[in-house]
Amino acid sequence: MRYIDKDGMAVTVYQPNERQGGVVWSLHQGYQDIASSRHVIARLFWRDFIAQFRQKILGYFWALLSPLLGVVSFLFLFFVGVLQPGQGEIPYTLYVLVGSTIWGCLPGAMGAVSGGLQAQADLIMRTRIPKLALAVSSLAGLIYGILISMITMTIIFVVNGVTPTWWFLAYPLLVLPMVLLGTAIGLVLSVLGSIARDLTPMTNQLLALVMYITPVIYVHSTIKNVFVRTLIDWNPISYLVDVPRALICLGRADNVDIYLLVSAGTIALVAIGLRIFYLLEDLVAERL
Amino acid sequence: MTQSSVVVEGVSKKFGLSLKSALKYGLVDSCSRLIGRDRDHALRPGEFWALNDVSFSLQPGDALGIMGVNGSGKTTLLRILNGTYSPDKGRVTLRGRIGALIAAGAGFSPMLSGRENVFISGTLLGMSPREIRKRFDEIVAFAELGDFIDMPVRNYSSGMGVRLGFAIAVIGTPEILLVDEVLAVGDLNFQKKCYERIHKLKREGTTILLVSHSPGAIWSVCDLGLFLDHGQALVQGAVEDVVRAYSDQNSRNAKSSADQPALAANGSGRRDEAAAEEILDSNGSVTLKSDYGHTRGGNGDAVCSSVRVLSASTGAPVESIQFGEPLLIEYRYQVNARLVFPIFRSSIDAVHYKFVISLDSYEQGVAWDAIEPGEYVMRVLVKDPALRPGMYRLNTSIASRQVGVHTFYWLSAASFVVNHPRDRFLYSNDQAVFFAPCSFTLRELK
Repeated sequence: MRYIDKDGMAVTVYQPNERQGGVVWSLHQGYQDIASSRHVIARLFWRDFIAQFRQKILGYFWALLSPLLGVVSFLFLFFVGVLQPGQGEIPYTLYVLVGSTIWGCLPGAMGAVSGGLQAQADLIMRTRIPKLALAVSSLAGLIYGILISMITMTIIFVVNGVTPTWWFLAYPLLVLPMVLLGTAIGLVLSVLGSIARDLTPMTNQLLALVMYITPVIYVHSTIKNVFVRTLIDWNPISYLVDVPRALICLGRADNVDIYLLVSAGTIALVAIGLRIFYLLEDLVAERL
Repeated sequence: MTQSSVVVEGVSKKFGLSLKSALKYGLVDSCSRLIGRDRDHALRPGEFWALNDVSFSLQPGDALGIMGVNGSGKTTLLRILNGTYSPDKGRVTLRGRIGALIAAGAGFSPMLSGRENVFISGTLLGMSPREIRKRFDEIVAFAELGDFIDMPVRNYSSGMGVRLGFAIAVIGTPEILLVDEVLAVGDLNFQKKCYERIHKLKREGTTILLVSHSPGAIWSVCDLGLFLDHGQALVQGAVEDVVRAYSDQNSRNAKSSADQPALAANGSGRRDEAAAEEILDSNGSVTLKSDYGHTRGGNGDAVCSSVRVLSASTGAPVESIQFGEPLLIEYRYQVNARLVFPIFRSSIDAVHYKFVISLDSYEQGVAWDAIEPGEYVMRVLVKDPALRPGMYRLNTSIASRQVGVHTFYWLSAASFVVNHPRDRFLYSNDQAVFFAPCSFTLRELK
């Protein structure tokens, strides 16, 4: 607990179970922690960004190539005829690139936030930076990645002779629910994963399975199996991928209402994730 | 009245003894919290108190030295004060901006230049970008890096990196400064500068908490001390009292280790080879090894069965004596065959040196023509051993003036501790063995 006393002096109090507030308190605390650590988050992002690209042959161009390399395997399988995703209105190259880029925001955010504390263990033990700031500082890299992937997607649009719609400019906003969902899961994993180390790899495996019931690399309408179709229909993440992709490529989309509903749900999940994070964060340092 | 800048009230912290118990209790605690149940703070099987009911308060400008052997809870306390760990019991209140000098250079990125790292590290320590810009030149000057500030940190020598880290941390002006074992960095001039900076902060009202194993570092910075042992605050008060208590505790620990040489390293209680050298025969008598290279040996004509250190005033067995107190040693002998011209000899080993004292009956002017078989007790009184505080081991032997080998020898037969005196502060060198009273005169040469 931190406050300013009547003499204007900052007072810090540490006592057991001090972060037992509810969801609203967690949101407020989260805002305070991030606001007070904005310089730290910015510096850590800058440090990681510079260090990542310095002394590499491809340098900053690596960031542009990276999203393309992620879909090479799917494109290979498609062009040799092994993968038959079905015919849609969007050229498959574009379909799979946009779909996988949107999908990538989920494991990307989850991995960044869940690994944020482990990666910054040194700083947790030796500085007084709020743990939330360290957990979310890695998200800055993801945001940068989203902006870079827009350039890559633009190139693929041009190559395919397709003009993106104006929705393309709103791409960061359209994938925000995916980022929020990944953040919510990452917040829980960042604390629980430091207690039970196998939780994070287990969740990664689970996420890989969820991808197969999400129309990332195949077209939803081509699925004939009723059970799988039902799974895809009931999978809320399907809408977080399908709707932004359709809006960007076609300028229209079905199920926008469900997309908005699921998006609202991701905000609620972040609040719950924050609540769990604050309830358990003090257990993390003891286990680093 | 000035408000305390640091108030620690009954703070306790527990940890699991093993990874398995840490995982189990971590999951149990997590579930308890998630369903809204208060955490049970009682100690559970497989847990221990790393810090147990520690309380103290400090005023602005106070400097507290926290001492204790490894595992005593020093670092846990510092981490609670730094907000890294949350206490399981008690409360910590800190008034003012807190600076932590826990690891100079924490968060340095080797790929980036010193200049870039100053901004990163400064921000991590709670300085605003404006404040870092304002103090940048001062930091570079303090670290004595000059033009090297634009070189990648990975090309720095270890000393340069640590100097820069230290400079960033101490150039800020925190109201409370937590320091963990990082004063001994750089060359002598830089260390002097570090001490001067710490003292300047102290004069300006910064409350300093310094954790160190070095009595010299604690004594030169702190006026108050806290001695932790197994998580408990054993001694609190004047720094000299705490340094004495720490040193005596170290000596007691060394004695405990010295007294258990026979226990195998795995702690199973199995006696090791050295202890197994003595074999009891069917009559229960000790059969000794008849050559050198063992803990105990001899030809069996005489055996020393026990060596004890006694209080010179009461005659009772003691583990330690006070500095300046006479040393009284009692030996019990079983003489099995007539000893002609026997010589009883003992030597004393210090922790770092062997045979610092030799107590030889012939040298001391005591001689026997012969000793007949039987049981004997001998007491040796060393009126002024002049031994400095520390742990010492006794070796003893029986020889004969006419025979060039030992009749009996026993290495590490007993050990004792010389405690620190109350009226004198012996801090200068923990490897020194003797205290020689002397006078100092100083006059200016014209």
